[in-house]
Amino acid sequence: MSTIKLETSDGVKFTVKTQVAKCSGTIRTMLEDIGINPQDGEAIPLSNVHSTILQKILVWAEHHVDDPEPPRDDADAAKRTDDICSWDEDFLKVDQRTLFDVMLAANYLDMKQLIAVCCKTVANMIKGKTADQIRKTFNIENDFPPGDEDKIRLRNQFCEERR
Amino acid sequence: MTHDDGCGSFMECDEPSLDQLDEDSLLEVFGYFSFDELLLMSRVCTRFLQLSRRCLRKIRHFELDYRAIASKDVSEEQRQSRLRDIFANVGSNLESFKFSGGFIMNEDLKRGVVDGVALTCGTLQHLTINYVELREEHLVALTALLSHLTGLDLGRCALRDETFGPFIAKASMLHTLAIPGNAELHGEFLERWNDCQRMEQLDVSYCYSLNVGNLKSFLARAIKLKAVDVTACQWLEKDKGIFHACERKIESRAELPVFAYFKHG
Repeated sequence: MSTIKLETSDGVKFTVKTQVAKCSGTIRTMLEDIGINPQDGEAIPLSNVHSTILQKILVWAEHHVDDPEPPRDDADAAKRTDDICSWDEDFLKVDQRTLFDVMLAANYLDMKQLIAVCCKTVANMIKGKTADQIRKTFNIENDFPPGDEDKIRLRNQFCEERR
Repeated sequence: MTHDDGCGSFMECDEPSLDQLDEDSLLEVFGYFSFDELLLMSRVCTRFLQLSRRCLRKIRHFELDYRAIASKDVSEEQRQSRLRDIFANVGSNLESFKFSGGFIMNEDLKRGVVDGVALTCGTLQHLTINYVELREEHLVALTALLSHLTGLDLGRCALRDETFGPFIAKASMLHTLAIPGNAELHGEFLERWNDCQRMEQLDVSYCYSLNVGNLKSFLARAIKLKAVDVTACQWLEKDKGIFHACERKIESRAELPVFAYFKHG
């Protein structure tokens, strides 16, 4: 089985099955289009990904390597967030710091399925909370000038009060 | 770490914040929210307000259920404010809108929905209003939409020939008209409708008073018509051949496709 080497931002080298590495659109492009030759033994630099995060992402890629191509998005279809498989759910039971870093790295590595499952997880953490609870949970500063916020609060009171 | 450097890391942050995620990731997260959830997110911080607005602008289909806005513990003012929220935020981009009412419904609310659709939905193509008694003033208001509507479903709206006739006569773009369950329609409205050349499907099922014989001149004018559902209408013996007489194949009991609507929330 062919393998390639990946080097993370903190200089750690990983030897990875080519098939697993190709879960990343970014790496696939490097290998196929740009023609980086992994046989040279030279590591592909992933300058935006830290080793702890890459390690985690490789576990995910290894588990999902044989997944079929996802069906094309129907732009009009309501997007569901309750269809995360239990393996992924457990995989993403991590602190926010790690979750966001996995998200950023998945973006950089162009791994659409992993991005989707991260975003669904974040969306689920938000759903059912009030604006104040969302700020608190995600450490977001309320940066509305006091007057503006009152206006917006008025316009959206219905959503809050229905909860 | 700032918003713009997208590809940094949260590892060195003391307190990671959702607000620090790059725009693409946040937009993807926001893509999983319903209309109500987007309104709520717009209150969290100015950045989320901008992102929510962008997502709201992408909403093309909206479905409103009377029971969902008329719950007991909400004041009249809040209901109207809810309608304003909907139409102000998504009205001008909507391609289809569906409203299911109840025959006993608040008249102000009904008026609010009718006016909201008529005044803000300038690009609407499909309109569905079911189980709402539509009187002359409502139909007059909705006339503004007829220059662009291609699909119209006014099932079970207590329509009458004398008010629906002048309304539908202005519907020159319609491909599909579904008005099932309007038991008081006799069918005279069809005689006044000359601009019906684009019509492909007509559903007048369960219009118990509708005389199929009244379709005759309409069938001759509606040259693209392919399917008519006349289930439970009145047939006279002399009208049996009406669908064969116009030298085209018209399915008279065809299954009409149901409009697909985006289910939000």
